[in-house]
Amino acid sequence: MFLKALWRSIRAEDSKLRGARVWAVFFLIPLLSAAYGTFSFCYNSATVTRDWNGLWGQHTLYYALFFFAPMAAIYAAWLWRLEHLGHNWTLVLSMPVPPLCLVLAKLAATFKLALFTQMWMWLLFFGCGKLWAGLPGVPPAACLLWALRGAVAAVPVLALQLLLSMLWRGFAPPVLLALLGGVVGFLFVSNGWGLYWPYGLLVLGMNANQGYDLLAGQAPPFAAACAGFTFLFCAAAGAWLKRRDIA
Amino acid sequence: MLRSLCAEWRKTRRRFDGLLLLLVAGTALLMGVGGAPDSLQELACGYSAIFYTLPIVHGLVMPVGMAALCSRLWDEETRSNTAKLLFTLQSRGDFFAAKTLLGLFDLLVLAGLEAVGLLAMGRLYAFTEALDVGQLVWLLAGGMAVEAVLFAAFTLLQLRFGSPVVLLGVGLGCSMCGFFLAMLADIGGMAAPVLYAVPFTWFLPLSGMRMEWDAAARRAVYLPQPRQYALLAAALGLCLLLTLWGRHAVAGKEV
Repeated sequence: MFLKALWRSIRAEDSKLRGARVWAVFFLIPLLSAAYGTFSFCYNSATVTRDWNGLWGQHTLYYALFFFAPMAAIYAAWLWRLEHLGHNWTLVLSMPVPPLCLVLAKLAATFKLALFTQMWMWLLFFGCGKLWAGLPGVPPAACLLWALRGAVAAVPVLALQLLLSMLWRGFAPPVLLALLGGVVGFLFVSNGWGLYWPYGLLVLGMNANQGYDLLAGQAPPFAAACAGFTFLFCAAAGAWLKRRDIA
Repeated sequence: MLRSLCAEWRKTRRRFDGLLLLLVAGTALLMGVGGAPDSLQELACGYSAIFYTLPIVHGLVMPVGMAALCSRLWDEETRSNTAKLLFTLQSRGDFFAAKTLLGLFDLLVLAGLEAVGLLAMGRLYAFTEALDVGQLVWLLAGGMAVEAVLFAAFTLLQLRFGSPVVLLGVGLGCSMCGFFLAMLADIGGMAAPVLYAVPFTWFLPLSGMRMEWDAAARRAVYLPQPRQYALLAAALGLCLLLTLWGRHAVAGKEV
């Protein structure tokens, strides 16, 4: 019963993404990041190693720190936007769908977007490396793994952003909070506490601007942190929705 | 006009605009100051370093910040689709002017928050450098002028598309471009002419401080640079132009 309701909710959330303006954000932001990253890689040839790892560092440096979290926040805010319009909350809360289904369905839809974003980012990385930077061969498999790990690290961030966007009726404040979260995440990661801050997980997962694997031997704590934060934020959102009264 | 302004002011009560401004100022200061200075040399040029880095950080934070502020000011009208109703109930000119004045007031509050935050940082880290009030005023004035341009441009976008996704998406794109151009200008002066052609990067040419790397002493040296009053005037002129355009757009809106 729960799974059936969840599946129906996921399909409903998917339908909100058809032809939505968030796809423009999805295409443009990684494109700008890739253009800068490759330009910086070509210009800083004296200080950056001329290989795929060097290019990965330049591509992900600012993308993971400042831009991926606000993008995820825009995805999350978009999916709650319809509920915040008019009297739609009354309609949503009176539907025979468990509240947690609603949250999980939105998480699934935003995760799909985040996964596509990471794939698009990786394709741009590959294309820029071959066509613009002229790097030989193909990128190491580790780069693809780091991109996928970035999508996994995005799950707790998406769960938190969904919670914030649900609580805050405005579209913009949660996006700003994500920008602040990314900045604080940088401070957490630079002090070695990246696993304790959801936005820090993005930097660790994507291995941003590092020549070595930041998570070497730390995969279980990373997975536990992702799962723990996701559970916490989803449970909080579900509990809040359950208590909310129909206005 | 006063009644429209009072109406706009009443709308801010449950919107917590102050919190939004605090978020923008806090993010900018956090990025601008970073960690605590760890040497006497850094304490001796603490304020100068902030006067240099803050305009770069503004290039990253303010496009998103202004998009958020503008989206917030028009939030109620967008969400409940009441803009058209308001156009028929009150003078359109007054309605737009009230929103613009409230936005400018928010920019003043933002500048005040940044100034207070900057002074608090100076006290907290016990900077040994004396505060150059002229530099602080120039930093705030230059920042406010460019922020006003951004605010007016986002208001136009809001009137045209009426969607916060467009505003935030464009804001994020501008942040990215602005920050990258600032970094490129910083690493080799290669993007310096481009900075003048892109208004949302004017934070940097309007900066009152420049940095030079002293390779022998292995430390950054901060030097004052000439203030570009012409660019400040251009920013104010552009802001006025965009505001008039916005007013014209509101006047021509179909209901």
